[in-house]
Amino acid sequence: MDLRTLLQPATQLLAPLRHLSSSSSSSSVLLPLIATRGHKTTARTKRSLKMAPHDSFLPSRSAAFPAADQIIYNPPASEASPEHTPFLFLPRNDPRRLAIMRLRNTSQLSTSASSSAGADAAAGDGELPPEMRYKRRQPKYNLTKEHIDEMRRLRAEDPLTWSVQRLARKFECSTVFVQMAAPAPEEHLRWLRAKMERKKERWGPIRTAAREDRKRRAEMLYRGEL
Amino acid sequence: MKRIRPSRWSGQLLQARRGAGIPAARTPLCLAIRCQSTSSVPASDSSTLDSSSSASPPPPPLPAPSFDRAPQSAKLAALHARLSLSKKIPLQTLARALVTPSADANPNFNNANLAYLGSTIINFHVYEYLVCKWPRLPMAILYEALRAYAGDESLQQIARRWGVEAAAAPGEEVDPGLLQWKAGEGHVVNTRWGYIRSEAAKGKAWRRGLSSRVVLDSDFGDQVSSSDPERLEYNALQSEAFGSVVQAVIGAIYTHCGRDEAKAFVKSHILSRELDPSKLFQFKLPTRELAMLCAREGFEPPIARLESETGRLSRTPVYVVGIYSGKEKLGEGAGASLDVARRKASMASLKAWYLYSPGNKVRVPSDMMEQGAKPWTAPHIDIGEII
Amino acid sequence: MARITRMRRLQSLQLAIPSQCAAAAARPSFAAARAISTSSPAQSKNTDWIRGKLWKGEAPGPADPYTQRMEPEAQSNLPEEALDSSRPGRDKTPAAVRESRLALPGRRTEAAAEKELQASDPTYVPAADAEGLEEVGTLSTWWEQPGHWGEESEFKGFGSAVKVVDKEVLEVHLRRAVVEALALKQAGVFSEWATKKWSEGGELDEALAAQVEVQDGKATLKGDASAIAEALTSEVEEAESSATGVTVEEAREMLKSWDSSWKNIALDNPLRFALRKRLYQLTGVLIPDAKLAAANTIKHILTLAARDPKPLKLAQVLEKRNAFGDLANVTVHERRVGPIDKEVAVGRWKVIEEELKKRDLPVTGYGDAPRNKERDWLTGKI
Repeated sequence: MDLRTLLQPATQLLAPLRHLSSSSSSSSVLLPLIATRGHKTTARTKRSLKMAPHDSFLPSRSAAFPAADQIIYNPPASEASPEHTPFLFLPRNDPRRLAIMRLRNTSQLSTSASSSAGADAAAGDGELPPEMRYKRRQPKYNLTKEHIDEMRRLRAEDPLTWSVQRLARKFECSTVFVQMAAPAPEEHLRWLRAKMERKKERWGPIRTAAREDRKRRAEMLYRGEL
Repeated sequence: MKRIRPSRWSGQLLQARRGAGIPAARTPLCLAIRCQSTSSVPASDSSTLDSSSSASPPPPPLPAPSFDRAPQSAKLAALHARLSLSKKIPLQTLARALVTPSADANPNFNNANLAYLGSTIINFHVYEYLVCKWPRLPMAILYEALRAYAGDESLQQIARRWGVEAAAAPGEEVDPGLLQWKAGEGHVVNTRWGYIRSEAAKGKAWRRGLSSRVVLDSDFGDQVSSSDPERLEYNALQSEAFGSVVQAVIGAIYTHCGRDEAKAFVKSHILSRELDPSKLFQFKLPTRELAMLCAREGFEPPIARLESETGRLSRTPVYVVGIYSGKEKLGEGAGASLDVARRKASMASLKAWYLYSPGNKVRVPSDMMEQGAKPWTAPHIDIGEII
Repeated sequence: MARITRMRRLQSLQLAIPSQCAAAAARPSFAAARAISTSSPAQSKNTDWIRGKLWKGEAPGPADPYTQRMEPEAQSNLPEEALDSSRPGRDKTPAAVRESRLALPGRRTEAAAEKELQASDPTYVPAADAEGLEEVGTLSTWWEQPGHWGEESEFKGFGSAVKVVDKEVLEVHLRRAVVEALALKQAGVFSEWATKKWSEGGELDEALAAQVEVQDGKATLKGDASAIAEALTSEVEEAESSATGVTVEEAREMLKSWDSSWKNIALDNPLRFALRKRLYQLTGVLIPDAKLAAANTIKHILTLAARDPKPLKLAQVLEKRNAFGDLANVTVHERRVGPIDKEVAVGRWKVIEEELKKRDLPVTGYGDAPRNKERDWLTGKI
């Protein structure tokens, strides 16, 4: 290390010289005067991989050494345990609920004392992570009895044209609602099932196995094994 | 005997049908006189027996060792000492706890009665503990948790850890310190009590809901079969035999030493075992179930939020998704895809709901039976499962 | 030539044997048979023609040279009786068998042939069946038959069958032996009786009542020495029950009443051997010859004879101490717990027995099956 710091100025001194030589000779071969060493030995590799621990693993050095004892709590990243009941799920008479509420009140008081009230309200929603986009139930309650009768009529008339998707788009409701409110006639369902069967017969072994694996994986996921 | 059958309430209200509610597999008490232990046979019988048996050939060997030999058995004494049983429990009782009905069918000499008594005590203590410790457990999970504590397999493990060994074949000459049981013969299981369903007798397919399981079926929610006992596997028979030893020992403790001793024994040998109930869950539609829970409880609908992610474009991405209801976080889960992470997060939230526990030191109702107990405070009682 | 010398040596050896053994034999002996020449006179006539060819006129020497050589043997200088006794054939049965007290099976005899009997007894009618014949067992059952092996046939040793182990009792018996030896000496019959068997039933109290006075290693007996000697030398056979009737406590009492001077009696060789023999007879304790030579006084004999009692085995110590009496979880078995006992304890033995019986196999042992021959091959027995 000492040697390297000593040599550093020397290389800096030599840098313009090197530039000169490269420009004069205009050759593509650049021979550095001070070669940087590669990690060719175990010792060098180890030295280069040696990293200082993160600050969270070190005792705080804000105070002088014997001043304060400190507990370093830095658990590895892991799943939250279901043993920790979230605040919302705690019953009304649970002492933990009261304790958390007391804690929140004091912290809120302190923050409100430090900052203005308007900033506090703005920060409320901004602290939360971004919402995910996924299909979720958004009840609109826009359909009346006539709509449903119409839906059923269309479906019975021509289930092939008026598919579930199309009806859902037409009446602005979910496909699940269409399936519940206007189920297809029995023969159409049978035809659909037969079509699916035919499709499945054409699957090769790889696709079949992949489908089965996917099903098994879903089961494992629901059992909490994945 | 009245049976509650909600499906029939509309019709004949609470009218019990004849033969519908037969207690399962009740063996008739056969009072065969046998000179196995001198104490159990009255003196008047022995004189008549002597006069009759003087000319007759020697009696056939007993199906299980005589209780007279119990004090001589080193194994039995060792087991007694190992369990630190009270001196009030004689070795003969311990010897009887080791004789299963499969070896000796006579209920005067086998452990069936003690085992039934013990099983009720075990199930009572385990149930009250489970209900007070995890008041929101669904009924199906509660059944499985009970089975994990007091099922035959678990009791077999306990018996084996006690050092109970089985005899190769039961008989009179066998050491009384060995468990007397044999597999094979279809013997009656009289430690399971419940109602035989009339639907089963008809042999139709019927829907067996959880509510009816609570009322009609056995302690573990198992269906009690009709007069024809089901054929059990060897392993099941074995665990039943070993489990009956633990039950009978606890029954013997209750008989000789009383309620408190039995409770302490159950607590130290059965409830001290560790069970992680979060492993028992299997969900079907966790996101929908969580949404219904929030709707029922009046919380804001759950929303999945992406808390952090890494390697979205790589082969092994990791997403951490949290489920929030309003500003409150309900749970979080990590997965290799957004969908998996979301489902895991909602499962974690549901488990957090179901596994709510008032604390590790819950008081159970039987604590009030002790002398000088503190006044009772009602435990948390949940309104029920999410349907 | 060689044959003749050997024969003579044989003959003289036979004479040395006590006459009774040879007398029993009735068969013509080997020596007697060889004394007759094998070549008959008729044979000598056949050889005359060659003698005539060889010699002109009278041939020199005897006609049969082999017979001629036997002549010096015939002229023995022994008395007639001796020769006679040696003549009959020697019995080849060992002396131990011949002198045995046991009833041994007799020699095999052959019945007279039918023709001979008919010749001697014209009324003889041969039997047609085995009716009325005496039943004698086979030779293998000889000792099981009554009268052949009983109490009297068992070996009784000279030494006492009951070995005395206590030192005090041994000392009392030694004292008795010393007193008896001294009594015999005083009676003057010690040298005669030293090698004979002393009567065992002599009164113990009588012998012990006698006082022994010791001066410079020489002992004199005070008391009824002649009575003791009489009791010893009498041939009366009485019950041997009174031989060892001394308990340890009695022996201790007796030892207290004597002063220890009697132990300093010097021993000479006859006394030493007499005491050893008597002690062996009374107590069953035999002092080895190699050690006996070192004993110079009675005290030495006592030291050699007395042995520390055998230390108890661990099992005996534990049993004596009742170590496991109050331990309920320990079982003490009378004998070794074998594989069958273990199977019985777990209840498997009855199943094994039943299965073996079902297959007609022996329950224990090998039954008719021969032993493992391969093992004998491996261990080199065959």
